[in-house]
Amino acid sequence: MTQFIFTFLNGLTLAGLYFLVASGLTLIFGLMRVINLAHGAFYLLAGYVSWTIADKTDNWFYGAVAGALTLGVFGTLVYVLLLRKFQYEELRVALITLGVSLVLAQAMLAIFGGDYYQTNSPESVSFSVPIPGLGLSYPFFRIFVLILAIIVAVGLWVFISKTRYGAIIRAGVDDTTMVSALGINVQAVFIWIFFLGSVLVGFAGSVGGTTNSFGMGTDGDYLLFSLQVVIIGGLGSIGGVAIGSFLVGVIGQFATGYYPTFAGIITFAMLILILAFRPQGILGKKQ
Amino acid sequence: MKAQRISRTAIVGVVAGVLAAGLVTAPSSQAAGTIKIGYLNATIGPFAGGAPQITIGLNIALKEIKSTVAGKKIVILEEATDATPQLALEKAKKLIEKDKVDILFGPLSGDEGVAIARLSKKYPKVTFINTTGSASEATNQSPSKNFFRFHGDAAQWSGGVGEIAYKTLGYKKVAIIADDYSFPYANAGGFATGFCKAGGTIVAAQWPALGTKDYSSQIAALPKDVDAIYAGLGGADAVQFLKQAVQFGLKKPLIGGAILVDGTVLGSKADIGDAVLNTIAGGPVPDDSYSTPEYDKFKAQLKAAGTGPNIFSVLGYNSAKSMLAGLVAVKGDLSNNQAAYRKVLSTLKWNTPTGPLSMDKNRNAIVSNFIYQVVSDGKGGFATKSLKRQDKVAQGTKVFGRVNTCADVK
Amino acid sequence: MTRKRIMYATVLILAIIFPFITPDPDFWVSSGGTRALWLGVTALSMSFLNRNLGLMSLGQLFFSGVAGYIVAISSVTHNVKFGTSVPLAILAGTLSGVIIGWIALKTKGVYFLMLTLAVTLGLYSFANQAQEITRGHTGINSIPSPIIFGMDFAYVKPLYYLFLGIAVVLFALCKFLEKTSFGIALKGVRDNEDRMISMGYRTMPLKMIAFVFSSFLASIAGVMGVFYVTNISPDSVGLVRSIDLLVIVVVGGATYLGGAFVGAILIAVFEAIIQDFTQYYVGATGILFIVVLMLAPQGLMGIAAQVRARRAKKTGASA
Repeated sequence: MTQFIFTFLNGLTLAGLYFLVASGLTLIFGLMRVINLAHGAFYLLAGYVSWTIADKTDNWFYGAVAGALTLGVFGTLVYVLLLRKFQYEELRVALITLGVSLVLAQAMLAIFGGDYYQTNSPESVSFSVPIPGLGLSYPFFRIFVLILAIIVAVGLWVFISKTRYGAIIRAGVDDTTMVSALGINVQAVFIWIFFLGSVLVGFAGSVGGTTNSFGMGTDGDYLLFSLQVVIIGGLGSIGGVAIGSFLVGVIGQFATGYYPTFAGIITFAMLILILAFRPQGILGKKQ
Repeated sequence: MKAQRISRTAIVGVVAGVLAAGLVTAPSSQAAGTIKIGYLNATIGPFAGGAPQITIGLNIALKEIKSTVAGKKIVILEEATDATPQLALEKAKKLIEKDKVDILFGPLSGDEGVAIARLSKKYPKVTFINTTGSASEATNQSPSKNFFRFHGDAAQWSGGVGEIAYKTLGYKKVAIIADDYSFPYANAGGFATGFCKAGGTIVAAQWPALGTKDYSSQIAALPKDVDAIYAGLGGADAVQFLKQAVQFGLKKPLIGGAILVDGTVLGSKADIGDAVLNTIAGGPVPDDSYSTPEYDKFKAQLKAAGTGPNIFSVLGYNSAKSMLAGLVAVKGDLSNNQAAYRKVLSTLKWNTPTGPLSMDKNRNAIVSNFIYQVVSDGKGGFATKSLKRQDKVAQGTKVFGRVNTCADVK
Repeated sequence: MTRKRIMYATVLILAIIFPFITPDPDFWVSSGGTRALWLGVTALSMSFLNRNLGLMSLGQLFFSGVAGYIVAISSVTHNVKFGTSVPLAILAGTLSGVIIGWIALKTKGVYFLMLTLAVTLGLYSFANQAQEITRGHTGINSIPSPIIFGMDFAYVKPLYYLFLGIAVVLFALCKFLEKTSFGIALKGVRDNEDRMISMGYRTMPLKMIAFVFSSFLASIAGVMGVFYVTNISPDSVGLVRSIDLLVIVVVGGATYLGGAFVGAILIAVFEAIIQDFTQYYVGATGILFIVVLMLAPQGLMGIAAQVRARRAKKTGASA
């Protein structure tokens, strides 16, 4: 019973982290049709940046902000310099981002080495909540991550579907020329979307680098998680990411806890099963 | 048709020219007065932090003989690997086939070590000296005549720990939590062999997948009615585990694998205090309080090189020194397919900084192992206290898998 | 046509005499030639799919991995003879293409790319975790070399010529398939699937056959890899290897069958040279990859064709 409750809590809080990671990927794709396969490398880079700043300033929040903003700027640069010209060639853009991930991974390896890092969580949330009747306690920081994920989810949903900016963005994606004719700079809108998506993964890297250690190879892991989440939930849908994160997080944890040998296969079988019936993912639009 | 024939003639002419040029440039350029040592080191990848330490050990050993044996200069050709067997095999082939090395020194990781030990059978003219790779099967399964390991395997690194846990500390029931790959298998296997033989029982085991980096579900699954928990984790994983052990309120004494409580873990900034105090652990590197003339001299040499004793610097030095001692003994004579050199190596005996070393019939070393305990340094930090030096720890015949009960090590 | 034939003949002759003209033959025949042929066949399976279905797959290493692991496990752990294990492995790898194809062919473009990448990464994590079956991260070592009609392929040159033979046969098979009515129908599907459907073709079986054929090629490459490397471990099917392969295909020219081999040779040589300058040479390969994608998306073969087209235009204009 104890193990069941813990595994479920772990899965749930991990789902929160996956949501933070994958929301940036799906936001950019959903609005711009650009799939960023350097997403895992972005996550890892944010981890290193926020670790470095948090270590220097002894302040977790500075680290998190630095991680998010650095990635925002970096992601925007990648978009403007490498991707913008080919924005409507989906596959070519995807391949270029894969190249970026290769270069980035090697650069990080050269700078930070192969050791694993982990950022210390801020004092104010570094306590454990005792669970009555089990004789064990649960670290509050993980619950904090779940709360953050929920805040980001609600914020994104409100921003895109309820605000004027959201309306402009949606319109700009559907009909670029029309929106341009209205005097709105669509290119600027795209840059802001890419910035926002990269800030999200940057923030995720800062938070994830606090709950779990990170290092060489983490980029591939989180690229896989993000792909699983968006493939299952449906690419381009915030709600889909939430569902995908929940399934991958909770089922993944139960698999790891109870059948460690087949953990990878179980998540994978779930993915195949869902795709067999819904190739576009649970909440994805038909291609 | 005619044009085609002409161009074919032209091609044959070109080809013949290239062929001639190739034959002229082909002869190997082995100078008579050098001994070429190929050096595989995993400087990229998960062990990038430890890899330079092996080089420091190697350099100390080289300096002691001024990189010369009987007038022959020793040349080191280094190739970087990323600790994967695949790249190690490719780089080894390059060193042997292209650079024509006489001796191959390396590799670092256990997985690479197994692959290289198997490869060595394909190159009987080259002598292979392992650096720090500690997988048992490299030497105790179908051993290769030209592959030598001058330190213990991961099971030997637990030598004496199980006995102390049972007899001195009185632990009767132990649960295991260790990473799910070959190194912790062997390390835990070595512990369980001694512990079960002394009378203890293994009641449960958790094997989190490598790269899980989150042990909370496993911590929750550990049984409550045990006397101690054996933790076979290392590096950042160890920090993560210890941190979570505190966060999740796991209140049991720990028995560490060889890399659970090394300097980097004890020095980490994370809050691990409650979990780590009184932990016992064993390994090939003595703790700070250990002192012999050989070890003190070696510590001074390491200090001059800007580091201290750790698994990589110690095993790197012992392996390099053994390799060179053999060369000195045969005066650099590698003729007759290195027969004389290998004979010396397989019966080598010397007092290493970490105790006496001799060789078994599989060309794996019989060495000393060190057991120590984590204590408070009285200033809020940690120190270690030597419990025992277990001498003449030899390799077993088993290749351990997951150890879930005592029956698995019988 | 004759020019093309001369080109093929030249390449073949050069490939045959290569072991006799290269310096350091032990090294370059094995780490240059044999390796490039193995990578080339893997890349060929990818190029075939891209050229005939317009689908870029990162799942080829999945089939290679399935076949490779079956050969390795059956021969090392269970002492099965290659005569049994190799056909079995290729069959299993090919059949796994039916399952993956059934799912993956419902998607296109980046979805297909992502899905096939996820498939490969799934095998990677399985290989890492299923310790009892795959021996985890250590992988399976000392895979014996094949002995056919008394000839031991542990030696550098026999293995090279064996691989050369396989590569030539498979390349010719691809060329032949493209010329059959099946191949022509396939191109129709690639260019305009809806039109083919309205013409009464059932396109799914066509796509499926092409996909399964490419997994057949990848399975053969997987077996070749096991014989060349003598080891198989999760890294054989990891993210880095998948990208490596993609780089080979794109740099060589993803819409040309020959591009697979051009890319493989180029990358093998490029990496052999650049690794003397930096241990982070994979990063340099990545930069090369980005540059090619941005400036010459049709790869090296494409550049040659572009230049030829331009020259033909010029001579046509002046004549």
